[in-house]
Amino acid sequence: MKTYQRMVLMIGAIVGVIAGGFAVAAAVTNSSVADTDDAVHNQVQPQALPIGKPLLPVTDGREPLLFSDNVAASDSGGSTVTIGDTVINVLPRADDGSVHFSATLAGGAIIDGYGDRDVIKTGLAYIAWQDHGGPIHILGIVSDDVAEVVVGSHSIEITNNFWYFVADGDDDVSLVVVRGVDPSNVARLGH
Amino acid sequence: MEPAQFGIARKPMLALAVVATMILLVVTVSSPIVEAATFHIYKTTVSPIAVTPSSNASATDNGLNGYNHQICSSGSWTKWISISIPGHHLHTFQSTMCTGMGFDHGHDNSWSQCASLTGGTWYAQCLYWH
Repeated sequence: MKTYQRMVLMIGAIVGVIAGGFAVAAAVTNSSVADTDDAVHNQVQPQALPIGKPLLPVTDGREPLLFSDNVAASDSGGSTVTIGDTVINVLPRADDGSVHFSATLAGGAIIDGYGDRDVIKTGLAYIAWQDHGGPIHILGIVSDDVAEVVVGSHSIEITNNFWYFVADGDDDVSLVVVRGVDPSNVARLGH
Repeated sequence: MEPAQFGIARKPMLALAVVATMILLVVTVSSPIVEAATFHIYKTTVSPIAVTPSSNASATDNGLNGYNHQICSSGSWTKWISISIPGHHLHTFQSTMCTGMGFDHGHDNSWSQCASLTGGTWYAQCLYWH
């Protein structure tokens, strides 16, 4: 075998080993699903706690579709919406009409989710969370035709289809969402 | 001439081998530093999600730092999910949307619970990760 052939073979082998190493590393760093229902059935289940008081009044699942599903923040390739310390990356509208977004909160927590078309049409698309029994944070998404959002007695500013409010645990967190072009169209939660 | 040529060519080959070994070492040593999120599905969509006051619960685990609903039934039913320890919900999350939340810190000896707060038959996959 000639020298240049040895070198070609050696380089080929080295490239192959490096590529293999990267492939193994990539496989190791990829996320994995560890358990399914079948697997956890065999594990000791904890004593599930009572759910306790809901953070917001509960929907009945049959809320009327009062609003459009137009959400400008998800048009034209998506957008970034900033409300205070919260930065919301809104992705382009999905084929099924749902709005997918990821919100990075002060402190580093991240909310990821999507509002399907029919939930947005109700005007009651929201996320609420509470850490260690502290204040209740509410992040809502509304369509373009929503003119006003009221939580308890507080009128909430809408910023590019999103609104955000922080309430104490004892505050009135009933929700009123008003359609601009037809103020008689009002979605209510907790009234 | 042949031995001399081989002798000259062997040095670059050795250098290449050394470089390749160093790259492999870096890849091998650094890969565990990038911690992979491991997702644990504890409620599939095979059966309806529990409705309050019942809930679906995972096993106790260490380092939980996120939870999620996914593959949810459409509609405005109220989803609820938590990271909990004995006697206390550390983080509760309620939504009409199919969403989840990740934290910048883990929670040892904790578990996740999920449920629907709206009566009826609804489906969702509940999971946590660490």
